[in-house]
Amino acid sequence: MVHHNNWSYLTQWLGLSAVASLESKPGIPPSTADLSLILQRLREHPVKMVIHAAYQDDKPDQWLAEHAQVKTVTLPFTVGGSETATDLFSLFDDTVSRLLKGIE
Amino acid sequence: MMIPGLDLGILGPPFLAGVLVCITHIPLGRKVLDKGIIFIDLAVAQLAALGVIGASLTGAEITGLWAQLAAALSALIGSGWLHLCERWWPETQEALIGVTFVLAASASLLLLAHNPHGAEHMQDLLSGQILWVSYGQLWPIALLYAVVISLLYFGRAWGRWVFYICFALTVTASVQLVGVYLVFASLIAPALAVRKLSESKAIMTGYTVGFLGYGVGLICSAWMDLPTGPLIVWTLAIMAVIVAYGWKLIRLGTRSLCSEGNTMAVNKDQ
Repeated sequence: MVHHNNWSYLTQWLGLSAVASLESKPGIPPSTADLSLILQRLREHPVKMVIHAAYQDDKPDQWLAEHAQVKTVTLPFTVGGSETATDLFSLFDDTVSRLLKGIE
Repeated sequence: MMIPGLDLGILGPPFLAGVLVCITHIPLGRKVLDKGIIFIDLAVAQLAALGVIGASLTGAEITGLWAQLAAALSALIGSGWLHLCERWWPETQEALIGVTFVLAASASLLLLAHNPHGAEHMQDLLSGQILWVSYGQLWPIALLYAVVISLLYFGRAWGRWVFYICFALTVTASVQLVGVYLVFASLIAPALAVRKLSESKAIMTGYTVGFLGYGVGLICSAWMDLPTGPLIVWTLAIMAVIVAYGWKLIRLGTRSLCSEGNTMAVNKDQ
């Protein structure tokens, strides 16, 4: 489950599958109709986590975490997106370790 | 017809938030209307929003205690200032309230000038985030509102400053819950509809307008796939008009029916 469709390279690299996106129209916050469709889809296809980038508003993710009982994982997305992601190598390290924490 | 999004799990918490906002804002709105200082709500709501923005720029967690204290402090100072305006310059009070509002709104824009998400923050505080409300968030607000309502009823004798404090604290909480526009609409639209009714009747009818406005607005937003906050502003106003003029129409209708009945009775007698 992703907040916005900006994780294509990551999901392909790690063999993850993005079941749904919180934004049915990219860049526009989900509406009540979207949310109910997402909840329905998550009931049929349970997911491990909701991924969103550090720069995005995490309110919809917190909402989904509460309603669908899933974890939210904040990823740095780019160098400087988190305290530890200071260069390209630490960006990948930090991203993978956050994802692993999300699976636990 | 099944409307997607018409799910109690999704619409329940926002509706409850609306009910809480109505319970406090309708009695407060009546007072604002009585005093004739309508734009005080916009000014204080904008000042509370300014406090939230200011606190968020220092890096404080926005839901944390410090940010909330900063927002409340900003609203309280603003409210105190407007109270002074009322005492010292009663004849230019409305103008001073207007200037305060514009200053607060412009200060928010200045503070957010170098923030890449500035426009989003601004919109969040204006049109609100009622859809993301969770039950957990509502408890502290319910508690605060209970204190405010009891202060309003039992603290009447302590003077006008009680009203200004209640007003500032309530608006600080509700602005973050439903946004500046809905705060204004919840205060004024129901109060306007029940302006001519007696106190007890006015409060109950006002609550009906408010609850219907929020309920219908939430359902319509799911149905029409439109943003919830701005749509509720409209349904609140529409409900207020229906209730204010609906009564009159019903009364007119029954009166004309009665008079028709009377003439018929008279005709029979002849």
